[in-house]
Amino acid sequence: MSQAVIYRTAEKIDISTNPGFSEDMKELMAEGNYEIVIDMNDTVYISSVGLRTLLSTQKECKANGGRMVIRNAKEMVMKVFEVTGFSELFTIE
Amino acid sequence: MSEEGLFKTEVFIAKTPELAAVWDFVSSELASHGVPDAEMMRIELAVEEVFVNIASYAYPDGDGDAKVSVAVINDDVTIRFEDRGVPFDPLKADEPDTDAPLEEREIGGLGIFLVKEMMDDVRYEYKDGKNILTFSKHTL
Repeated sequence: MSQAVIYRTAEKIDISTNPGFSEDMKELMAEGNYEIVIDMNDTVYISSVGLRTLLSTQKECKANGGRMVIRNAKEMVMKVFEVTGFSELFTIE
Repeated sequence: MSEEGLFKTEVFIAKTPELAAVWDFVSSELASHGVPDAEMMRIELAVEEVFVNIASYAYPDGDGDAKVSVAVINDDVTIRFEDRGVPFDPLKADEPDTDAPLEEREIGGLGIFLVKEMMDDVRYEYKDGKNILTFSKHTL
């Protein structure tokens, strides 16, 4: 992933911050970036709306020959990925 | 004092921007009882998913209220949401297929699924024209 774009997520991905996150993802992909690293080091909280954004981003990257990678997922975020089965779907480093 | 007397209650407009006010109310109650941070995060998730559901679907034709009640009794947190919107039992909705491949994954139903996974007990009843959803979590 030599040309991957690294995106650092906010402290919380919830109903109020997710619209901005979703817009950022759409903009990156509209610019032709389909190799995206989501660095979740700062994120302590994610709800189902954030999962929706990650899922649609991963689908669009894959459909365009790229991939989305998640890095530095913290405890609560990993728990949410695990109980929903998303830990199996996402590439988590 | 009956257990009912141990609940603190506030009424909010059922709109998603009110979530911050709902969480301020709930979290200050939990903090005053010394609920640990790791538990707070899971409870916050459950509160967000339930309140956003009510705000999104309970009142399709206009505005309505959501009454939120909180009690902490012997390290058990209980939170109750009541609305007078469209009767709907979220616990009866189809559970998402968490083993489905990426292309087939749908996001619907994940919110309430997360509530069930993160809390110890989730109950729904329709009574006196109200949807009543109650969840609880042991915090020690």
